[in-house]
Formats: sequence, structure tokens, C-alpha cells
Amino acid sequence: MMPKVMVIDDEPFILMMIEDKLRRGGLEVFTLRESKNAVDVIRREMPDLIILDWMMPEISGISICKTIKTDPDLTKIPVFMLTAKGQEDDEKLGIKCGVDRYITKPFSPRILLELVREQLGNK
Amino acid sequence: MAGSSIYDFLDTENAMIMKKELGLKRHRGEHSIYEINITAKDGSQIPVLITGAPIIRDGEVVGKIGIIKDFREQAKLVKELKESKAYIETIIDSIEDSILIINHDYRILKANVAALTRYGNNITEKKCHEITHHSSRPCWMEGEDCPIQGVFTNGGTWRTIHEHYDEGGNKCYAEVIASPVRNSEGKVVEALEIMRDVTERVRHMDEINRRNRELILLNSIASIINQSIKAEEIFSSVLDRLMEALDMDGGCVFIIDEKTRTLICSCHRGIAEQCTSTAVRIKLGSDIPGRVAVTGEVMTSSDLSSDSRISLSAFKDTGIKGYCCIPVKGKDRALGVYCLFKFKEHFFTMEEERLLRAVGEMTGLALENIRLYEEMRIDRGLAEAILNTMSEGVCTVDTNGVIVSANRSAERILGIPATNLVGRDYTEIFSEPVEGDACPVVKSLKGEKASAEFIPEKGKGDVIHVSSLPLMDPANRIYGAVQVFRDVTREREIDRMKTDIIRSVSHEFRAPLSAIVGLSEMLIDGDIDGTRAREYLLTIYEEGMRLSEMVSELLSISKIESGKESIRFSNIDFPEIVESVKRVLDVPVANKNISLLTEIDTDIQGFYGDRGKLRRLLLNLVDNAVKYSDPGSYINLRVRYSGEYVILEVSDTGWGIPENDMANLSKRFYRGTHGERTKGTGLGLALCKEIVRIHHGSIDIKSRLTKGTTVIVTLPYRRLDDA
Repeated sequence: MMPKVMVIDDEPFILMMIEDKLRRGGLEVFTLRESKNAVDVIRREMPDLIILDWMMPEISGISICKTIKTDPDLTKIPVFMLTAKGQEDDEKLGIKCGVDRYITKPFSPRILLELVREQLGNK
Repeated sequence: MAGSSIYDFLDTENAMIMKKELGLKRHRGEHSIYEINITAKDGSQIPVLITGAPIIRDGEVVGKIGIIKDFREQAKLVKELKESKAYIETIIDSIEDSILIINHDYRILKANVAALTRYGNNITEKKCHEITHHSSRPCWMEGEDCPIQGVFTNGGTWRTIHEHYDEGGNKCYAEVIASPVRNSEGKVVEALEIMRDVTERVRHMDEINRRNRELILLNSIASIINQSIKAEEIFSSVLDRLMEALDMDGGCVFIIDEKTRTLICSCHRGIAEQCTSTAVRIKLGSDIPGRVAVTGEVMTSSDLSSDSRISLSAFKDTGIKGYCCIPVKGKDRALGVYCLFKFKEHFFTMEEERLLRAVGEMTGLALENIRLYEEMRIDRGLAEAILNTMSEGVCTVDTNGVIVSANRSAERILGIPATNLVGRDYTEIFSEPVEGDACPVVKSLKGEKASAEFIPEKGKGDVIHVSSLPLMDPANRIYGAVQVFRDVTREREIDRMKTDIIRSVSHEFRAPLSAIVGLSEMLIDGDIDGTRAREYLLTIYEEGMRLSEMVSELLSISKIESGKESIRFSNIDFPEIVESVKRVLDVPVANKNISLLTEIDTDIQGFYGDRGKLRRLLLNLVDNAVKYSDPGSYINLRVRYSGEYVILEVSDTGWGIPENDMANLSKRFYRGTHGERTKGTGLGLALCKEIVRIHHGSIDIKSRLTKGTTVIVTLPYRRLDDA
């Protein structure tokens, strides 16, 4: 069974880009543009890895991450924070909230795919 | 004894004389009296007084009666008298004072050796005034006290000092004491006059008196100098005092004007106005005052009118005779001159010159001090003005850390009046620094330069930066410290804003860059082809445009702010602008299913403004309303006309703005609480504010959390003439 990666971002082109890259890399991709019901969808879909944008209307990515990492059923799912927030303090906060890998925008889809594979291989 | 001859008692010589004398007297029938020595039995000589009287009968001398009186006692008395007289005369002659016995006619009857030596051996029988005054009249007739006259008129002892001239014509002084010589009836018959030469004493006294007058004058001048700091007042008073002391008729004071190299008359006395008008300005080096000012030497003339040394002077033909000009001397050069004059001839003595020179020096130093004081006062005033106009607070403390002075900015920044600051301990005001390891004053009082940041108790600022420097005297001893403090609240805010700008710019630029970098990488890697590739290229293009727009927006704000952006006024067609805005926001509005309603007054005509900027204003306001609203919300855009104003109103039923964000809304890059939920530059409202400002309008934002926001822009009506 192909590993399932869930991508949550409010920018359609980001979703399009990651979806295309990861699919070509042989992964199953599930995208979500709205963060409002993200945690419910995660519970339902139970992905192998989640790629999250930080800044989204309704519920922020960091808040979703906190929920995942404090939920015993979800805590083991690796979370990649893919964000434009590039300050050192932001990254520290992200790591503190349980982010497994902090990637700042702009990013290389090629490297992202490699990192995802690496993370899934570690599992 | 009877039967003996008188001659038997005389020695041979005495008997011979007596026989002869008696023979003559007997012949003339005269009485006779002799003081003669007779020989006693024992052969000793006894002085006797023999008186003899003829016994006449019928006109004939028939005999003689002789009386012999033992005269030994009297002879002894006479001898003693002679001895004492000689003794007294020796004493009188040995006295150095001249002693004269003078009668009623002022005739000298007797003179001692000292008098004879002084006035000549032939003074007896001369009159006293002839020898002492060389005058034919008694001295009282010359207006002097005459002790001899006093003695003969009133008795008693009289004393006076007489001024005489000796044979060489030198002035000399004699103290004269006259006492009466009375006869046995108590009547004054003669006067005893003692004359003592007191020339030296009188000269010394004169010298002492002169010195005293000088000291009194100098003292009074010192007092004038001490009591005033106005140069003109001092010179005027000193001139009056000099004129009085030297009995002058007039004078003037000239002060050097260094710029024009002229002497300018500061005050004058006893000179006609027409004279002062010609002599009111004298070039340095010309005329007497000009030369004295250059040489620094006193110049005097006993008669200026006939003084061959002075050919040309403004003072020459004014009737002035006695004249002197003294330099007013500063430390290393003359600062002015005093002129004093008299309409009579006056010979200025060495002493007077010396005194005037001293006055010139005293007042010169005073003038220099006044000028120094003036300079200091100006400097101090300037320093005070600078201190009170500078935006930095300045306060000084003494070695104990007690505040000695504080300027106005110090009051403003600390929020404490200077009167309450002075006298307080510095540490009471600045306790714990928020930045820096210790109170800077403590360090400065140890000689170090220090700085720290504090939060004041009161005052306007939130953060105060304090720099402290030690105050040192010329001997490098610390006598206090000076603190310069600045309200750095704004600077800190700017720092924060700068950080925010960088953070925001870097953040906001990352999203479109992600599209450009990521999508193009996938195209290059050949991950995408066909229509999907076209979609990718379109996104790259759109995101590139968005990036460009953000850069433009940022530049627009800074251009407007710096005044570099020119405003292009044109007749505004509001319906056209509103349509343009709606077109641009069509997609996001549709995506969120928002109802955007517009209302435009049709009678707005002839309003002039910058079309591009007003379009940007409306676009930003409506875009914000879309961004900060949930799907399905309502947005109402109204443009209406109200009297002299055009009012643009954008209201929404969106999230509303939290209370604590309201004050910062139009700050650049301020994203507020909702910033986390949306993308944006944080520049939109800041740019709106600038656009409204250049249209001389105002912007008002009303909002309730969860209920919505209304932004009202009021623009004063601007017609073509105004534009």
C-alpha cells in the first residue's frame, strides 16, 4: 500500500505543486484547502505524514500540529511545517510544538519529496 | 673806734679811691653811697655799704655823717643771683628753639644763641615780623594768628604754626609759643616767644594727609567699582570723584571700540556739546586721547593752550589749560582713557599722576571684569537657551548623586518639574536599569563614561536612554556628573517596525516566490507537461505579478511619505473607479460568496483628485473587507456627496477588529490579531492613510468584533481651481 501524505494549505498552487510532485514520486496525496475541519479529516484519513502550512484562515497550522501531537492516536504521525515564517524564533516555536521538520518557503519540490521519503523510510 | 679815720679800715688802694671820690662829693655837697670792702681787725675783707651825707653849716660843709652797713649777706645774695642768671642764660642758649623776648612794639629785646644763629646776630632792636616774615607789618595784619598780639591783648600763652619762607625762598614752618613776662605788679611788660622749626613735621603730616586723601579716593573708587557692573555707570561716577578730588573743571571718558579702532566718548563733564560732537570719536593714535591709548603713558600739560608739544587737538582752543590724559589699562593693553581739565593753569604733580595712573589701572581691570562677566552671561544665556531648546534631557548631579540642575526637556521626559528634581537623589528617579548593568551616575562619579536604559516613573516616554559623563575641574578632580537622556520609545518602536518590515517583507515575499521557484523547478525537471504545464506557467506569471505589486505598494508609501511622489489631479469619475475595483476583486469575492453592494451618488461632479491613488484607496479598503470576512458576508461600498465633502464608506459584516489592534491599524506592516489568518502585506491601510492625507481628508474606522467594520473616508471637495 502506498504511503498516504496529507497536505493542508490555503494556497491552491502550493497544493497543486506538492500533489503533482509527490504523486509522481509514488505517494498517495490527499490535499485540504480549509483548515477548519482538518483534524477531523486527519482522524478519518489517518495519513502517514502531514504537510502543514502555518498561516491559514480559521485555524492555524501550528494549532493543528499541537492537536495532533497531544492526541495519543495521532501523535506518531510526522508533521512537516511548510511555511513562509522564516524567523529563527518561529522555527523554535514550531519544533517545540512537535513539528518533525521545519521547511521554509520558497522550497524545492524535489527536496521536499526526498525529505518525505526519508521520513517515511525512517518510520 | 672814735677818733679813727674811715680810711683806717680800708686798704691803701681802696682808701685812695675813696679819698678822691669823697673829696669831689664833699666839694659838691652830695650824698654818697658805696659798696666797698673794708679790712677787719683780723685783716679779712668785709663787704660793707657806706652811705655818707655832708653836715652843712652856713652853707659850708663842716662834717660828714657816715653809716656803715655790714653787707656781707647782700653780697652773697648778689653773687648767687649773678650765678643763677648766668646759669639760666646758659640753659636758654643751649636750647635749640629760638627764644626771643619781645616788647609791645614787636621789637626784639633779647634773643638766645639759637635765634641769633638762625636770624643773625643783629636782630635785637629789630621787629619780630621783619626777621621771621620779612614783612614790615605784624603777621596778624597779614591774616595770620599772632601769638605776641594775643599775649599783649589777653595775656596767657598762645600757640600757632606759622608758614615762612627762609632766605633761600624755601617754604618752612615754625611752631610759635608766646607767654607773657609780667612785672612785680603783674602787668605784662614783655612777651617770651619760643619758635620751633617744624618744617619736617608739617611736611610729614602733609604727606600723611595727602596719602590719606589718596586712599580715601581710591577706596571710594573701589567701592564704585564693586557696586556696579555697568561700565558707563562706573566711569561716570569715577570721573565725578576724580574731578572733585583734583579740583578739576571738567573731564571725559573714552572707551576703545576694537572693531572700528576708535575711541568713543562714554561720558563727559564741563565740555560744551559742540566740542564733544567733534571729539566724540577719536581715531586710535590721533589727538591726545588716541596717542595715550596707544602708548599707555600718562600725558599732562599745565597749559594746553600754549603747549608747544600739542599742535592739533580738539581740546586745544576750548579754553582748557590744565589738562591730563590717563590710560584705562587692561591686562595687556589700554581699553580707554580718562581726560581731566581745568580752565586755569594746573601743574599736575607726580603724586597726582601716580594717583590717576592707579585709578586708570583699577577701572581698567574693572572694565575687563565687566566684559568677562558680560561674555560669561551671554555664554551662559546661550548655553541655557541651547539646554532648554534641545530635545534631550540634561541634568547634572554633585558628587553625592544629588541633582543640581535639570533642563526643560528633562522635566518633560521625566514628567517631573525641575523644582522637584533639584535636590533629589538621582537614584530615586532612576532605580533599576532595564538595559545596562548599573546606574550610569555611579560609574561616572568614579570617572567612567556610562549609559543605560530606564523606564521612568512618570513622563511621556516608555524607555529612556541615559548617557552619563563625569564632570572634571582643570585639576582632573571629579565634581559631579552630567546626564543626557533621550526618550527612545519612538526609536525602539522604529526598531521594532524595522524588524517587522523585514519579517513581513520576507514572509510575504516567500509565498509568491514559492510558486515561482517550486513550479519552475518542476517544469525544468520535466515533471509536468501539456495543459498542466500551461497552468503552471500561468501561476508563475500571476505570482510574479503579485510580488511586483507588493514591491510597488511599498515603494508608493515611501514615495508619498518622502514627498517624492507627484500627485496627478484629474476630474474623478467615481462610478468608473468603483467598477474597476469590483472587476479586480471579482475572483476573491466570488470565491468567498460575498455580496458586494455599491451605491454611488450620481450628482458628484467636478471633484478633482489623483485617480490612481483613489482607486488604490478603494481597492485596499474593499480588499480588506473581503479578506477579513467569512464566506457569505456582506460588503457595502458607498460614495456619497455631503456639502463640501465626498464620503467614501466601506462596511462589512466580517470578523471585526479587536479593541487592542485599533490604535495600530494604519501602522506599516501591522497585521493585527487576524494577521495570522490571512495573507497580506500590512501595508494596505498605511498606504490608504497616506493617500487620504495628500487629499487633505480624514479616515475613521469603526468596528465591533464579530459584527463587522466600517471605514469612512471624508475628502474635502476639491475643484479644478484648488487642484
